[in-house]
Amino acid sequence: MTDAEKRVREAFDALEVPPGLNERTLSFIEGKRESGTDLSTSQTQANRAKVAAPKRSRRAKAAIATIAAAACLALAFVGVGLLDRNPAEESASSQHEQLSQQLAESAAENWPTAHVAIDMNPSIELAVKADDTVLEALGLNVDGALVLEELDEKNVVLKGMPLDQAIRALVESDGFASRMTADSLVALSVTCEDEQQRQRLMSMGNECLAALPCAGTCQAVDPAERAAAVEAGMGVQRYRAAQELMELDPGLTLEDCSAMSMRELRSRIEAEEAR
Amino acid sequence: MRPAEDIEGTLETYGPAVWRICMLHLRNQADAQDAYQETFLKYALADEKRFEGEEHRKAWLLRVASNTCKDMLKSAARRNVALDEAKAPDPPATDPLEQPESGYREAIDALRALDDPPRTPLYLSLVEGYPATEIARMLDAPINTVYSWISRGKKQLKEALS
Repeated sequence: MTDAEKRVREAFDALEVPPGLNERTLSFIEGKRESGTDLSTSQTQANRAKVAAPKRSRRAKAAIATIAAAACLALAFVGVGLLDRNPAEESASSQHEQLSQQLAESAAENWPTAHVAIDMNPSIELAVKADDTVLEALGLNVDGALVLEELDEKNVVLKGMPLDQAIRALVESDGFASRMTADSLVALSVTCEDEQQRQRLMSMGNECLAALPCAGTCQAVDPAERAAAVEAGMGVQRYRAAQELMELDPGLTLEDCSAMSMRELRSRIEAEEAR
Repeated sequence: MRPAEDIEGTLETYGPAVWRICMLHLRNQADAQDAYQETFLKYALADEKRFEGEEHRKAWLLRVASNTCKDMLKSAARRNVALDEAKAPDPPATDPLEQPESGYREAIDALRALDDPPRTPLYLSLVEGYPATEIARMLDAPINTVYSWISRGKKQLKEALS
């Protein structure tokens, strides 16, 4: 982080909620509750759809567009067919509520509850939903992105796969398999706030690693460390190894380390320690 | 509407992050306070909204706060009112922005002065610590675009504060 970036971060960290603002906000909201005012409903629903919608596939976007178009047609039909304003308004309101509900539900289903990084070099991160299926796969570095492209070309769709199946598809790809030797090291890093899901995912991860022809390790990691690692283009375990190596050899940068495989990092750490 | 205890707990936990993003977009404390109250009113009204964990709740609040501030600025622009230049009430003496020796005002103004994007993605990365993948999801933007915004924003910030 540069000096300028540190300064900005410190300046915002120093900002505090003005005294009494939380109390005034609570009174403001309670006032609305007591008066039964619902003035922000439409604005809130618009925001809800925008906020909750994580990155959607083209197909999901098309489905939502279809729902929206159907709702618009229904509204237009009702509007043209009825001269009496009140029933039309009621119908429009009900259609709008229904559409908002569908959008909100679709968004909630598309939110990841866990992230699992698979790291050898290539490095890939899988965003996982509460039902342990993959929501999204992201290449953390160029090699990782190439593996995903390879699977895409072979029509292997990771999205929707149970985590263990997705890990197997990844390690069986040419991008991983061609680099994997008996002394390779594959690391899985699981970040998940829900303990039960974390245990399930780690268990799936360990089963996949046990079937590999090389060594593997699966660890739970905290969100802050994951964030730093992802920013550096690595999974957490490779990031940790890179940090360890940089301490032993201050001449190396994070960028240098990001080009090394997990095995290479470990070998160099061992060599440095043996000196 | 959500129960009062839920709103109070959320204010306590996420109030500071919501306040920071309101202050990122709005220079005037009174406007920032309006945006803050509006954000939590929207939270209170969105009672059927389900969150998949606390990170999702925080991300939702930050996005709503950011949109609320932008809507206020757009509305003021339509009415030809210079929202940021309106007379602000005197800030409390303890306001860190009013301590010239801290350099905080200059640093915050430098980020505020950036176009948006890269202002919001850079803020989410630098101050709130979100990785690019999460920012891409929050802003519904491709990951490579987010990398590019953050990189461009960092460069502009460095130039502004050098």
